[in-house]
Amino acid sequence: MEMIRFNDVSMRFANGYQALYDINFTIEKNEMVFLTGHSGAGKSTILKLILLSERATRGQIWMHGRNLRTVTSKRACYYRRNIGTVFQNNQLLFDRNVYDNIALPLIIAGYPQTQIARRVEAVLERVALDDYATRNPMKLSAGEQQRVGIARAIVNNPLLLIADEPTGNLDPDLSDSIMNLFAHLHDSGTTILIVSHDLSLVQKMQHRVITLKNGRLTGDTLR
Amino acid sequence: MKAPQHPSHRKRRRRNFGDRIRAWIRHHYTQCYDSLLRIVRTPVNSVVTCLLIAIAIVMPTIFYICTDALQSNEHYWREPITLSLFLHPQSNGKNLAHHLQQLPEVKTVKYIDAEQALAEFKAQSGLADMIETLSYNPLPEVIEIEPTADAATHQQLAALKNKLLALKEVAQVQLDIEWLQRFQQLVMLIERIGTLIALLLLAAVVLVISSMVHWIISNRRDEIEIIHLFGASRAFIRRPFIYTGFWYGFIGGGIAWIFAKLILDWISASLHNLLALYGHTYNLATITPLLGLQLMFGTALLGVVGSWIAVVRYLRHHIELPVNL
Ligand SMILES: Nc1ncnc2c1ncn2[C@@H]1O[C@H](COP(=O)(O)OP(=O)(O)OP(=O)(O)O)[C@@H](O)[C@H]1O
Ligand SMILES: [Mg+2]
Repeated sequence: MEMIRFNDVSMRFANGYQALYDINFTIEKNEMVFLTGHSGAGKSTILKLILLSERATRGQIWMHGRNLRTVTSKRACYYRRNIGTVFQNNQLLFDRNVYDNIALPLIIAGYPQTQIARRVEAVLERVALDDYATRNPMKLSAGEQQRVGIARAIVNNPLLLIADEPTGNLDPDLSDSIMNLFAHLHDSGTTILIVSHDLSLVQKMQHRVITLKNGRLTGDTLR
Repeated sequence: MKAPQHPSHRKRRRRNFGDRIRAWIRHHYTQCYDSLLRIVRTPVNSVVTCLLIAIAIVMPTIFYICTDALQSNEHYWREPITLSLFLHPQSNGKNLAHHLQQLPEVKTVKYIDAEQALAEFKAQSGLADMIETLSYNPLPEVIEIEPTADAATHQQLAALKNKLLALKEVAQVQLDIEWLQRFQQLVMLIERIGTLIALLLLAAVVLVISSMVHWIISNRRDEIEIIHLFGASRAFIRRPFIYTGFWYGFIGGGIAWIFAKLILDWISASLHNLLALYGHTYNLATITPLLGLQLMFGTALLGVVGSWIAVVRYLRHHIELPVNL
């Protein structure tokens, strides 16, 4: 079953800059895919389109069988709850502890307190941060912070996990461990799309790689 | 399709309606509390903002209370209105006075015969000696009428005057309402100016709260961006800031209440002493608890309006998804 499909998608920003040209690809459920390309190639733009932060100027995007053009601006927030997002600089909120950071997507989705507690605990275990619930994320190491970011992204069991340069700020060892964490999540059934320009890291992972160049899709290893 | 299942990765449980309502109430409650906490944690900014609000609110409040008190003490400063009827010689003034007393517009009637009128004139004018030399009494009989309170507008008095002039015994009617007209116009002018200033000050309160909330929003940009990407609805994003505006208004209104009380006590004390010298009792202008609460919630409403403007403006520029193509 396909999770995401781009059909001849082109993207031109309001200032007239064309960031994507006729992009076509499909990601199946439970796949783990890397998206690479030079800086400015249009990788983040693809994630923005998936997140409905922007709308494609041409072509169709399908998410879990649903055409994103049918998602109105008003309903877009409910659609976004199906996607977990990991950022490069993890974007944790330092005015609250680890638990409250991770609970955020669940609070947004309106879960009862007991379920939130259960899920946050379970997800902390999955990213190996069992005893960190009450810590302030500011006082964690970069790798720990990124794991909190990942925990937050998967806590609501998203259909799709997307990550924009999740290892961009980390040294090679930490990058490996974060990538291994993604691989674990993939093993347990999560569909993952990771943007990275670190080719050696990507190749080491031995997963499908989609390559962009100047807004055009130039390579797709399709396993 | 059937991937290995991790404990927290089982089938997506649907939350029922009750769960959602409870979560919604909970979010309101936590944001209400949290925004108050944030205000308390930035005391300097908050104090300045709340004082600005209070100062802007206290002036119209005192204006309102004072005009209200002025109206409830009307009997002290309002001169009674009278119509003076000067009668033709040899008319039966006593009878006419009796007849006029029956009219619905008339409150009191006072009949003054010619001798009385002369005596009064002598006493008041200081021309007693000169008047003594007159061989006859030049003054007519006079009837003074005080109209009832609900027949005291300018138009009603003019109508009454015409009605009385039509009586055959009446030679002339004197109605001195110029002061009344002037007074009514002055009151209207003051009320209009007061209302205008009040409206400007209320607009200033909205602007102060709006710009304060705008500043707070830009400090929490990252958070907004994140919760937006995790699927927060617009209402969810708005909520903490609306509560912030509410609290600023509420607290500012409370401070305005205290200010108004202090100022009115201060004014009233001296006014009271002054009037006591003349043996008057006076309904002092005070701010009732009900009015105080109205003040707090009213200002809180202005806060909600101000923060609403700020949030909606921000979201439109930074979060809004381009229209569906
Ligand atoms: N909102 C925007 N308006 C106009 N142009 C934009 C906008 N966002 C991105 N771009 C342009 O689109 C192009 C692709 O941007 P994108 O962020 O997708 O690149 P990227 O592949 O993620 O690069 P990097 O590896 O540096 O993050 C860039 O040239 C960028 O300047
Ligand atoms: Mg990018």
